[in-house]
Amino acid sequence: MEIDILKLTVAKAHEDMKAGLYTPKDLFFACKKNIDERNDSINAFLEVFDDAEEMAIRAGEMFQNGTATLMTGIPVSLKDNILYKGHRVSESSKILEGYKAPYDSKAVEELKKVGAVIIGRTNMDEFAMGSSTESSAYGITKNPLDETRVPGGSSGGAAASVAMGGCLVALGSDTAGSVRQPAGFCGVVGLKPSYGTVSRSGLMSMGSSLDVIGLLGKTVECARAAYDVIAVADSLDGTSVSDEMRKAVVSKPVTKIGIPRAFVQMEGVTEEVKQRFFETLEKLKQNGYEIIDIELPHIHYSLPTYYIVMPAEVSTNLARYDGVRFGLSVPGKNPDESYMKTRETGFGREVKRRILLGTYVLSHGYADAYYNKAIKVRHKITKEIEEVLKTVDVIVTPTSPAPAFQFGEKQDPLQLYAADIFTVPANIADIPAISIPNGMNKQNLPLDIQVMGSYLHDQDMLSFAQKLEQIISQ
Amino acid sequence: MTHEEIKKLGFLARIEVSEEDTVRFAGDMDNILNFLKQIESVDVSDVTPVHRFKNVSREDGNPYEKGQFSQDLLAEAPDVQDGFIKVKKIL
Repeated sequence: MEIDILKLTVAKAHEDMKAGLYTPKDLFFACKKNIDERNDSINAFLEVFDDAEEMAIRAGEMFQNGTATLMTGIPVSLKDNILYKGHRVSESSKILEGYKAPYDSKAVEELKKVGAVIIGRTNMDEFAMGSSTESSAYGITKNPLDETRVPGGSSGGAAASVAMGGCLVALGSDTAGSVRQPAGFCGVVGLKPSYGTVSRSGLMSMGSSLDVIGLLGKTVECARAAYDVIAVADSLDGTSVSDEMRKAVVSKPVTKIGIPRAFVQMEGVTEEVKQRFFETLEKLKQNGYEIIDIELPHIHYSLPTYYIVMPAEVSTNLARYDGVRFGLSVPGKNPDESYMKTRETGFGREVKRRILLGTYVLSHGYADAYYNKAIKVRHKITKEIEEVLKTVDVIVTPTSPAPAFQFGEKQDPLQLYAADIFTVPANIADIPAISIPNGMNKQNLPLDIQVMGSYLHDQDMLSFAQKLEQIISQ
Repeated sequence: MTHEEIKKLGFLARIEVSEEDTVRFAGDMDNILNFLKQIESVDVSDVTPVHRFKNVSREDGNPYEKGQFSQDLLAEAPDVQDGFIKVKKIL
Protein backbone atom coordinates (compact mmCIF):
# COMPACT_ATOMS: atom_id res chain seq x y z
CA MET A 1 0.00 0.00 0.00
CA GLU A 2 1.26 3.47 -0.94
CA ILE A 3 1.62 5.64 2.17
CA ASP A 4 1.18 9.38 1.63
CA ILE A 5 3.15 10.83 4.56
CA LEU A 6 2.11 14.38 3.72
CA LYS A 7 -1.52 13.49 4.43
CA LEU A 8 -0.88 11.18 7.35
CA THR A 9 -1.36 12.03 11.04
CA VAL A 10 -0.09 10.13 14.08
CA ALA A 11 -3.59 8.93 14.97
CA LYS A 12 -4.29 7.71 11.42
CA ALA A 13 -0.93 5.94 11.16
CA HIS A 14 -1.59 4.21 14.46
CA GLU A 15 -5.03 3.09 13.33
CA ASP A 16 -3.65 1.84 10.02
CA MET A 17 -0.81 -0.11 11.63
CA LYS A 18 -3.17 -1.57 14.21
CA ALA A 19 -5.43 -2.72 11.39
CA GLY A 20 -2.40 -4.26 9.68
CA LEU A 21 -2.63 -2.08 6.55
CA TYR A 22 1.13 -1.52 6.82
CA THR A 23 3.92 -1.95 9.36
CA PRO A 24 6.21 0.54 11.12
CA LYS A 25 8.91 -0.63 8.73
CA ASP A 26 6.76 0.35 5.74
CA LEU A 27 6.11 3.69 7.40
CA PHE A 28 9.82 4.22 7.97
CA PHE A 29 10.59 3.48 4.32
CA ALA A 30 7.85 5.83 3.15
CA CYS A 31 9.52 8.63 5.14
CA LYS A 32 12.95 7.53 3.96
CA LYS A 33 11.77 7.75 0.36
CA ASN A 34 10.74 11.39 0.84
CA ILE A 35 14.07 12.14 2.50
CA ASP A 36 16.00 10.45 -0.33
CA GLU A 37 14.05 12.43 -2.91
CA ARG A 38 14.18 15.88 -1.35
CA ASN A 39 16.86 16.17 1.31
CA ASP A 40 19.75 16.85 -1.08
CA SER A 41 18.02 20.10 -1.90
CA ILE A 42 16.23 20.94 1.37
CA ASN A 43 18.93 19.81 3.83
CA ALA A 44 16.49 19.33 6.70
CA PHE A 45 18.21 16.14 7.85
CA LEU A 46 21.90 16.13 8.73
CA GLU A 47 21.71 12.37 9.07
CA VAL A 48 19.26 9.48 8.89
CA PHE A 49 20.22 7.11 11.69
CA ASP A 50 21.54 3.69 10.64
CA ASP A 51 19.53 1.87 13.29
CA ALA A 52 16.16 3.49 12.51
CA GLU A 53 15.06 0.51 10.41
CA GLU A 54 15.88 -1.83 13.27
CA MET A 55 13.79 0.32 15.61
CA ALA A 56 10.92 0.13 13.13
CA ILE A 57 11.16 -3.64 13.06
CA ARG A 58 11.03 -3.77 16.87
CA ALA A 59 8.02 -1.44 16.82
CA GLY A 60 6.37 -3.89 14.41
CA GLU A 61 6.82 -6.61 17.03
CA MET A 62 5.01 -4.43 19.55
CA PHE A 63 2.00 -4.31 17.23
CA GLN A 64 2.17 -8.09 16.97
CA ASN A 65 2.34 -8.72 20.71
CA GLY A 66 -0.27 -6.12 21.62
CA THR A 67 1.99 -3.66 23.48
CA ALA A 68 1.79 -0.93 20.84
CA THR A 69 0.55 2.49 21.94
CA LEU A 70 -0.19 5.70 20.02
CA MET A 71 3.46 6.66 19.37
CA THR A 72 4.71 3.12 18.62
CA GLY A 73 6.35 2.97 15.19
CA ILE A 74 5.90 6.70 14.59
CA PRO A 75 8.98 8.22 12.87
CA VAL A 76 10.33 11.10 14.98
CA SER A 77 13.22 13.40 14.08
CA LEU A 78 15.53 15.04 16.64
CA LYS A 79 16.91 18.55 16.49
CA ASP A 80 20.70 18.47 16.47
CA ASN A 81 20.88 19.56 20.14
CA ILE A 82 19.01 16.62 21.72
CA LEU A 83 21.11 13.73 23.01
CA TYR A 84 20.55 10.18 21.74
CA LYS A 85 23.10 7.75 23.13
CA GLY A 86 25.72 6.57 20.68
CA HIS A 87 24.52 8.94 17.96
CA ARG A 88 26.09 12.09 16.67
CA VAL A 89 24.82 15.44 17.93
CA SER A 90 26.58 18.67 16.99
CA GLU A 91 24.48 21.80 17.77
CA SER A 92 25.03 22.35 14.02
CA SER A 93 28.41 23.74 15.06
CA LYS A 94 31.95 22.95 14.04
CA ILE A 95 32.92 22.89 17.69
CA LEU A 96 31.05 19.60 18.17
CA GLU A 97 31.70 18.00 14.80
CA GLY A 98 31.68 14.23 15.19
CA TYR A 99 30.62 14.34 18.86
CA LYS A 100 28.58 11.33 19.99
CA ALA A 101 26.06 11.53 22.82
CA PRO A 102 27.22 9.50 25.84
CA TYR A 103 23.68 9.17 27.24
CA ASP A 104 20.01 9.58 26.25
CA SER A 105 18.05 12.74 26.87
CA LYS A 106 14.96 12.12 29.00
CA ALA A 107 12.74 12.84 25.99
CA VAL A 108 14.51 10.20 23.88
CA GLU A 109 14.41 7.72 26.77
CA GLU A 110 10.62 8.11 26.97
CA LEU A 111 10.19 7.86 23.19
CA LYS A 112 12.27 4.67 23.11
CA LYS A 113 10.09 3.13 25.84
CA VAL A 114 6.96 3.46 23.70
CA GLY A 115 8.69 2.22 20.54
CA ALA A 116 8.81 5.45 18.55
CA VAL A 117 11.25 5.31 15.63
CA ILE A 118 14.03 7.89 15.99
CA ILE A 119 14.66 8.49 12.31
CA GLY A 120 17.38 11.14 12.16
CA ARG A 121 18.74 14.46 13.29
CA THR A 122 17.79 17.81 11.85
CA ASN A 123 19.64 20.98 10.98
CA MET A 124 19.33 24.15 13.04
CA ASP A 125 20.84 27.57 13.56
CA GLU A 126 24.18 27.03 15.27
CA PHE A 127 23.57 26.57 19.00
CA ALA A 128 19.88 27.37 18.33
CA MET A 129 20.76 31.03 17.83
CA GLY A 130 18.75 32.35 14.94
CA SER A 131 15.38 32.59 13.26
CA SER A 132 16.21 31.29 9.79
CA THR A 133 18.56 28.24 10.02
CA GLU A 134 21.03 30.26 7.95
CA SER A 135 23.71 30.09 10.66
CA SER A 136 24.23 26.30 10.70
CA ALA A 137 27.83 25.20 10.10
CA TYR A 138 26.38 22.47 7.88
CA GLY A 139 24.61 24.60 5.28
CA ILE A 140 21.23 26.28 5.11
CA THR A 141 17.91 24.45 5.20
CA LYS A 142 15.35 25.41 2.58
CA ASN A 143 11.65 25.83 3.17
CA PRO A 144 9.97 22.77 1.57
CA LEU A 145 6.99 24.93 0.54
CA ASP A 146 9.15 27.48 -1.30
CA GLU A 147 12.81 26.65 -1.64
CA THR A 148 13.80 30.28 -2.21
CA ARG A 149 12.76 31.01 1.37
CA VAL A 150 14.02 30.21 4.85
CA PRO A 151 12.25 27.55 6.93
CA GLY A 152 12.49 29.78 10.02
CA GLY A 153 14.57 28.89 13.00
CA SER A 154 16.22 27.86 14.99
CA SER A 155 14.41 24.51 14.58
CA GLY A 156 14.21 25.04 10.81
CA GLY A 157 15.33 21.51 10.02
CA ALA A 158 12.74 20.11 12.41
CA ALA A 159 9.90 22.06 10.78
CA ALA A 160 11.12 21.18 7.30
CA SER A 161 11.47 17.50 8.26
CA VAL A 162 7.73 17.38 8.97
CA ALA A 163 6.70 19.60 6.03
CA MET A 164 8.69 17.48 3.53
CA GLY A 165 7.21 14.21 4.80
CA GLY A 166 10.43 12.95 6.38
CA CYS A 167 8.73 12.08 9.67
CA LEU A 168 5.43 12.56 11.47
CA VAL A 169 6.75 14.31 14.57
CA ALA A 170 9.87 16.40 15.16
CA LEU A 171 11.46 17.34 18.45
CA GLY A 172 12.89 20.84 18.58
CA SER A 173 13.83 23.29 21.28
CA ASP A 174 12.18 26.62 21.98
CA THR A 175 14.01 29.40 23.84
CA ALA A 176 12.23 32.36 22.25
CA GLY A 177 10.05 30.83 19.55
CA SER A 178 12.47 28.41 17.91
CA VAL A 179 9.78 25.76 17.53
CA ARG A 180 6.74 27.95 16.88
CA GLN A 181 8.20 30.36 14.31
CA PRO A 182 9.63 27.68 11.95
CA ALA A 183 6.40 25.71 12.35
CA GLY A 184 4.55 28.80 11.13
CA PHE A 185 6.96 29.35 8.23
CA CYS A 186 6.62 25.72 7.08
CA GLY A 187 2.86 25.38 7.56
CA VAL A 188 2.94 22.90 10.44
CA VAL A 189 2.03 22.95 14.14
CA GLY A 190 4.67 23.84 16.75
CA LEU A 191 4.16 23.37 20.49
CA LYS A 192 6.20 25.04 23.23
CA PRO A 193 5.20 23.41 26.51
CA SER A 194 5.19 25.17 29.90
CA TYR A 195 8.74 25.57 31.19
CA GLY A 196 9.74 22.50 33.19
CA THR A 197 7.03 20.13 31.94
CA VAL A 198 9.48 18.41 29.58
CA SER A 199 12.86 17.58 31.10
CA ARG A 200 15.89 19.50 29.86
CA SER A 201 18.14 16.56 30.73
CA GLY A 202 19.99 15.82 27.51
CA LEU A 203 18.93 19.02 25.77
CA MET A 204 22.11 21.02 25.21
CA SER A 205 21.78 24.23 27.21
CA MET A 206 21.36 27.63 25.61
CA GLY A 207 19.34 29.89 27.94
CA SER A 208 18.61 27.50 30.77
CA SER A 209 15.82 29.56 32.34
CA LEU A 210 14.02 29.75 28.98
CA ASP A 211 14.83 26.48 27.16
CA VAL A 212 12.20 23.81 26.65
CA ILE A 213 11.92 20.88 24.25
CA GLY A 214 9.01 21.42 21.87
CA LEU A 215 7.11 19.30 19.38
CA LEU A 216 6.22 19.77 15.73
CA GLY A 217 3.68 17.84 13.70
CA LYS A 218 1.14 18.37 10.95
CA THR A 219 -1.74 18.68 13.40
CA VAL A 220 -2.21 19.66 17.03
CA GLU A 221 -3.06 16.04 17.73
CA CYS A 222 0.32 14.88 16.32
CA ALA A 223 2.29 17.25 18.53
CA ARG A 224 0.09 16.38 21.49
CA ALA A 225 0.62 12.63 21.07
CA ALA A 226 4.37 13.07 21.42
CA TYR A 227 4.02 15.67 24.18
CA ASP A 228 1.97 13.22 26.26
CA VAL A 229 4.87 10.75 26.06
CA ILE A 230 7.75 13.09 26.93
CA ALA A 231 6.10 15.43 29.46
CA VAL A 232 7.12 13.60 32.62
CA ALA A 233 8.85 14.65 35.86
CA ASP A 234 12.59 13.98 35.95
CA SER A 235 14.99 14.09 38.90
CA LEU A 236 17.87 14.83 36.51
CA ASP A 237 16.42 18.27 35.73
CA GLY A 238 16.30 20.50 38.80
CA THR A 239 13.64 22.67 37.16
CA SER A 240 11.39 19.76 36.21
CA VAL A 241 7.78 20.23 37.37
CA SER A 242 6.94 17.60 40.00
CA ASP A 243 4.19 15.01 39.70
CA GLU A 244 2.33 16.67 42.57
CA MET A 245 2.30 20.01 40.77
CA ARG A 246 1.11 18.37 37.55
CA LYS A 247 -1.71 16.56 39.36
CA ALA A 248 -2.77 19.73 41.18
CA VAL A 249 -3.70 21.48 37.92
CA VAL A 250 -7.47 21.87 37.70
CA SER A 251 -8.57 21.71 34.09
CA LYS A 252 -10.54 24.67 32.80
CA PRO A 253 -12.17 24.71 29.35
CA VAL A 254 -11.37 27.69 27.14
CA THR A 255 -14.24 30.11 26.48
CA LYS A 256 -12.68 33.58 26.84
CA ILE A 257 -10.00 34.65 24.39
CA GLY A 258 -7.80 37.63 25.16
CA ILE A 259 -6.46 39.80 22.33
CA PRO A 260 -3.64 42.25 23.04
CA ARG A 261 -4.83 44.50 20.23
CA ALA A 262 -2.16 47.19 20.53
CA PHE A 263 0.59 44.55 20.50
CA VAL A 264 -0.84 42.80 17.44
CA GLN A 265 -1.20 46.09 15.58
CA MET A 266 2.25 47.46 16.32
CA GLU A 267 4.62 48.64 13.60
CA GLY A 268 6.31 45.90 11.61
CA VAL A 269 3.38 43.49 11.53
CA THR A 270 2.36 43.07 7.90
CA GLU A 271 -1.14 43.88 6.68
CA GLU A 272 -1.79 40.36 5.40
CA VAL A 273 -0.88 38.90 8.82
CA LYS A 274 -3.20 41.31 10.65
CA GLN A 275 -6.03 40.84 8.18
CA ARG A 276 -5.98 37.04 8.38
CA PHE A 277 -5.61 37.18 12.15
CA PHE A 278 -8.74 39.30 12.60
CA GLU A 279 -10.67 37.15 10.11
CA THR A 280 -9.89 34.10 12.22
CA LEU A 281 -10.98 35.96 15.38
CA GLU A 282 -14.28 36.66 13.66
CA LYS A 283 -14.69 32.92 13.02
CA LEU A 284 -13.97 32.20 16.68
CA LYS A 285 -16.66 34.68 17.65
CA GLN A 286 -19.12 32.99 15.30
CA ASN A 287 -18.30 29.71 17.01
CA GLY A 288 -19.35 31.07 20.38
CA TYR A 289 -16.05 32.18 21.87
CA GLU A 290 -15.92 35.43 23.78
CA ILE A 291 -13.28 37.78 22.37
CA ILE A 292 -11.94 40.19 24.98
CA ASP A 293 -9.51 43.05 24.39
CA ILE A 294 -6.67 42.95 26.89
CA GLU A 295 -3.91 45.36 27.84
CA LEU A 296 -0.37 44.14 28.31
CA PRO A 297 1.47 47.46 28.57
CA HIS A 298 4.90 45.93 29.21
CA ILE A 299 4.79 42.97 26.82
CA HIS A 300 6.88 44.74 24.16
CA TYR A 301 9.75 44.83 26.66
CA SER A 302 9.92 41.02 26.38
CA LEU A 303 12.31 41.18 23.42
CA PRO A 304 14.97 43.48 24.95
CA THR A 305 14.63 41.59 28.25
CA TYR A 306 15.19 38.33 26.41
CA TYR A 307 18.25 39.70 24.61
CA ILE A 308 19.85 40.38 27.99
CA VAL A 309 18.84 37.25 29.92
CA MET A 310 19.56 34.80 27.08
CA PRO A 311 23.08 36.02 26.14
CA ALA A 312 23.97 36.13 29.84
CA GLU A 313 22.99 32.49 30.19
CA VAL A 314 24.61 31.64 26.85
CA SER A 315 27.95 33.14 27.88
CA THR A 316 27.87 30.95 31.00
CA ASN A 317 26.55 27.76 29.40
CA LEU A 318 28.92 27.84 26.45
CA ALA A 319 32.00 28.21 28.65
CA ARG A 320 32.12 24.40 28.66
CA TYR A 321 33.24 24.31 25.02
CA ASP A 322 36.92 24.75 25.78
CA GLY A 323 38.49 21.92 23.80
CA VAL A 324 39.47 19.99 26.92
CA ARG A 325 36.81 17.35 27.55
CA PHE A 326 35.05 17.08 24.20
CA GLY A 327 34.69 18.60 20.79
CA LEU A 328 37.13 20.58 18.72
CA SER A 329 40.51 21.30 20.25
CA VAL A 330 43.00 23.70 18.68
CA PRO A 331 46.34 23.60 20.48
CA GLY A 332 48.00 26.80 21.71
CA LYS A 333 51.14 27.61 23.67
CA ASN A 334 49.28 27.69 26.98
CA PRO A 335 45.77 26.81 28.23
CA ASP A 336 44.37 30.32 27.61
CA GLU A 337 45.63 30.36 24.05
CA SER A 338 44.17 26.88 23.44
CA TYR A 339 40.75 28.01 24.70
CA MET A 340 40.85 31.17 22.63
CA LYS A 341 41.90 29.46 19.42
CA THR A 342 39.49 26.56 19.90
CA ARG A 343 36.54 28.89 20.44
CA GLU A 344 37.61 31.23 17.65
CA THR A 345 37.73 28.33 15.18
CA GLY A 346 34.76 26.35 16.50
CA PHE A 347 32.07 28.97 17.03
CA GLY A 348 30.28 30.84 14.26
CA ARG A 349 29.74 34.58 14.19
CA GLU A 350 26.31 34.79 15.84
CA VAL A 351 27.42 32.51 18.68
CA LYS A 352 30.45 34.72 19.32
CA ARG A 353 28.32 37.84 19.16
CA ARG A 354 25.95 36.50 21.81
CA ILE A 355 28.74 35.25 24.09
CA LEU A 356 30.39 38.68 23.96
CA LEU A 357 27.07 40.41 24.59
CA GLY A 358 26.37 38.10 27.53
CA THR A 359 29.84 38.71 28.92
CA TYR A 360 29.20 42.44 28.69
CA VAL A 361 25.77 42.48 30.40
CA LEU A 362 27.14 40.38 33.26
CA SER A 363 30.38 42.31 33.69
CA HIS A 364 31.21 44.45 36.69
CA GLY A 365 29.69 47.90 36.38
CA TYR A 366 27.06 46.86 33.84
CA ALA A 367 25.30 43.92 35.52
CA ASP A 368 22.93 46.16 37.50
CA ALA A 369 21.89 48.22 34.51
CA TYR A 370 21.38 45.20 32.27
CA TYR A 371 21.14 41.73 33.75
CA ASN A 372 19.74 42.55 37.19
CA LYS A 373 17.29 45.02 35.73
CA ALA A 374 16.21 42.55 33.06
CA ILE A 375 15.45 39.91 35.70
CA LYS A 376 13.09 42.38 37.39
CA VAL A 377 11.45 43.39 34.12
CA ARG A 378 11.00 39.70 33.35
CA HIS A 379 9.09 39.28 36.62
CA LYS A 380 7.00 42.33 35.88
CA ILE A 381 6.01 41.01 32.45
CA THR A 382 5.29 37.55 33.89
CA LYS A 383 3.06 39.01 36.59
CA GLU A 384 1.23 41.13 34.04
CA ILE A 385 0.55 38.10 31.83
CA GLU A 386 -0.50 36.00 34.83
CA GLU A 387 -2.97 38.66 35.94
CA VAL A 388 -4.50 38.87 32.47
CA LEU A 389 -4.78 35.08 32.33
CA LYS A 390 -7.03 35.26 35.39
CA THR A 391 -9.57 37.18 33.30
CA VAL A 392 -9.22 35.26 30.01
CA ASP A 393 -8.41 31.58 29.34
CA VAL A 394 -5.91 32.05 26.51
CA ILE A 395 -4.13 34.89 24.73
CA VAL A 396 -4.09 34.79 20.94
CA THR A 397 -1.69 36.61 18.57
CA PRO A 398 -0.07 35.86 15.22
CA THR A 399 3.08 33.72 15.60
CA SER A 400 5.25 35.79 13.25
CA PRO A 401 4.90 39.40 12.10
CA ALA A 402 5.41 38.25 8.49
CA PRO A 403 5.53 34.95 6.56
CA ALA A 404 8.76 33.17 5.54
CA PHE A 405 11.37 35.58 4.18
CA GLN A 406 14.01 34.99 1.51
CA PHE A 407 17.59 33.90 2.11
CA GLY A 408 19.91 36.75 3.01
CA GLU A 409 17.00 39.15 3.41
CA LYS A 410 17.78 39.93 7.05
CA GLN A 411 21.42 40.85 7.55
CA ASP A 412 21.11 43.18 10.53
CA PRO A 413 20.99 41.13 13.76
CA LEU A 414 18.30 43.38 15.26
CA GLN A 415 16.06 42.80 12.25
CA LEU A 416 16.43 39.06 12.70
CA TYR A 417 15.80 39.31 16.46
CA ALA A 418 12.50 41.10 15.76
CA ALA A 419 11.12 37.89 14.21
CA ASP A 420 10.65 36.65 17.81
CA ILE A 421 8.44 39.53 18.93
CA PHE A 422 5.21 37.49 19.39
CA THR A 423 6.81 34.26 20.54
CA VAL A 424 9.28 35.46 23.18
CA PRO A 425 6.72 36.48 25.87
CA ALA A 426 5.74 32.82 26.46
CA ASN A 427 9.38 31.95 27.24
CA ILE A 428 9.75 35.03 29.45
CA ALA A 429 6.63 33.99 31.41
CA ASP A 430 7.21 30.16 31.39
CA ILE A 431 3.73 29.61 29.87
CA PRO A 432 2.69 27.11 27.16
CA ALA A 433 2.14 28.32 23.59
CA ILE A 434 1.39 26.76 20.25
CA SER A 435 1.54 27.88 16.63
CA ILE A 436 -1.12 26.66 14.21
CA PRO A 437 -1.30 27.20 10.43
CA ASN A 438 -3.75 29.97 9.58
CA GLY A 439 -4.22 29.49 5.85
CA MET A 440 -2.03 30.74 3.00
CA ASN A 441 -1.31 34.23 1.68
CA LYS A 442 -1.53 35.40 -1.94
CA GLN A 443 1.97 34.09 -2.67
CA ASN A 444 0.92 30.71 -1.32
CA LEU A 445 3.05 31.03 1.82
CA PRO A 446 1.62 29.78 5.11
CA LEU A 447 0.34 32.26 7.70
CA ASP A 448 0.09 31.36 11.37
CA ILE A 449 -1.68 32.01 14.65
CA GLN A 450 -0.40 31.54 18.19
CA VAL A 451 -2.27 30.52 21.33
CA MET A 452 -0.74 31.09 24.77
CA GLY A 453 -2.21 29.36 27.81
CA SER A 454 -1.84 29.61 31.58
CA TYR A 455 1.25 28.10 33.21
CA LEU A 456 0.84 24.29 33.39
CA HIS A 457 -2.51 24.44 31.58
CA ASP A 458 -0.92 22.89 28.51
CA GLN A 459 -3.74 20.38 28.06
CA ASP A 460 -6.47 23.04 28.18
CA MET A 461 -4.54 25.07 25.62
CA LEU A 462 -4.09 21.99 23.41
CA SER A 463 -7.79 21.11 23.52
CA PHE A 464 -8.65 24.64 22.45
CA ALA A 465 -5.93 24.56 19.76
CA GLN A 466 -7.53 21.45 18.29
CA LYS A 467 -10.86 23.27 18.06
CA LEU A 468 -9.22 26.35 16.57
CA GLU A 469 -7.55 24.14 13.96
CA GLN A 470 -10.98 22.81 12.94
CA ILE A 471 -12.49 26.30 12.87
CA ILE A 472 -9.70 27.59 10.62
CA SER A 473 -10.17 24.72 8.17
CA GLN A 474 -13.95 25.27 7.93
CA MET B 1 31.99 50.16 21.64
CA THR B 2 35.67 50.48 20.80
CA HIS B 3 37.77 47.78 19.16
CA GLU B 4 39.75 47.49 22.39
CA GLU B 5 36.56 46.84 24.35
CA ILE B 6 35.58 44.05 21.93
CA LYS B 7 39.03 42.48 22.29
CA LYS B 8 38.76 42.73 26.06
CA LEU B 9 35.35 41.03 26.09
CA GLY B 10 36.87 38.43 23.79
CA PHE B 11 39.60 37.72 26.31
CA LEU B 12 37.09 37.56 29.21
CA ALA B 13 35.07 35.02 27.20
CA ARG B 14 38.24 33.32 25.92
CA ILE B 15 37.46 33.92 22.28
CA GLU B 16 40.07 35.25 19.92
CA VAL B 17 38.17 37.80 17.83
CA SER B 18 39.42 38.32 14.28
CA GLU B 19 40.01 41.84 12.94
CA GLU B 20 37.00 41.53 10.65
CA ASP B 21 34.72 40.46 13.49
CA THR B 22 36.09 43.14 15.80
CA VAL B 23 35.01 45.86 13.39
CA ARG B 24 31.66 44.23 12.77
CA PHE B 25 30.88 43.51 16.43
CA ALA B 26 31.85 47.01 17.55
CA GLY B 27 29.14 48.41 15.29
CA ASP B 28 26.57 45.69 16.10
CA MET B 29 27.05 46.06 19.85
CA ASP B 30 26.22 49.76 19.85
CA ASN B 31 22.98 49.09 17.99
CA ILE B 32 22.07 46.12 20.16
CA LEU B 33 22.86 47.89 23.45
CA ASN B 34 20.86 50.86 22.28
CA PHE B 35 17.92 48.53 21.71
CA LEU B 36 18.40 46.88 25.11
CA LYS B 37 18.55 50.22 26.90
CA GLN B 38 14.81 50.71 26.50
CA ILE B 39 14.27 48.60 29.63
CA GLU B 40 15.90 51.42 31.62
CA SER B 41 12.60 53.29 31.61
CA VAL B 42 10.58 50.41 33.11
CA ASP B 43 9.58 51.11 36.70
CA VAL B 44 10.44 47.98 38.69
CA SER B 45 10.07 49.48 42.17
CA ASP B 46 6.98 47.29 42.65
CA VAL B 47 8.76 44.05 41.70
CA THR B 48 9.84 41.48 44.24
CA PRO B 49 11.17 38.57 42.25
CA VAL B 50 9.52 35.30 43.23
CA HIS B 51 11.11 32.20 41.78
CA ARG B 52 9.09 29.15 40.86
CA PHE B 53 12.02 26.88 41.48
CA LYS B 54 14.29 26.13 44.36
CA ASN B 55 17.66 24.48 44.57
CA VAL B 56 17.50 20.72 44.26
CA SER B 57 20.13 18.49 45.78
CA ARG B 58 20.37 14.79 46.41
CA GLU B 59 21.95 12.79 49.21
CA ASP B 60 25.63 12.01 48.80
CA GLY B 61 26.28 8.57 47.42
CA ASN B 62 26.82 6.86 44.12
CA PRO B 63 23.87 7.52 41.83
CA TYR B 64 25.17 4.98 39.34
CA GLU B 65 27.81 2.28 39.12
CA LYS B 66 31.37 3.56 39.13
CA GLY B 67 32.90 3.66 35.66
CA GLN B 68 29.58 3.16 33.87
CA PHE B 69 30.08 6.22 31.65
CA SER B 70 33.88 6.56 31.81
CA GLN B 71 34.72 4.94 28.48
CA ASP B 72 32.01 6.81 26.58
CA LEU B 73 33.08 10.14 28.07
CA LEU B 74 36.79 9.54 27.55
CA ALA B 75 36.12 8.56 23.95
CA GLU B 76 35.01 12.15 23.30
CA ALA B 77 38.04 13.82 24.88
CA PRO B 78 40.58 15.30 22.45
CA ASP B 79 43.60 13.95 24.36
CA VAL B 80 43.65 11.00 26.75
CA GLN B 81 46.37 9.14 28.63
CA ASP B 82 45.99 6.15 30.99
CA GLY B 83 42.28 6.75 31.47
CA PHE B 84 42.73 10.45 32.19
CA ILE B 85 42.02 13.56 30.12
CA LYS B 86 45.30 15.19 29.28
CA VAL B 87 45.59 18.96 29.68
CA LYS B 88 48.36 21.51 29.28
CA LYS B 89 50.46 22.43 32.28
CA ILE B 90 48.74 25.28 34.07
CA LEU B 91 51.45 26.50 36.45
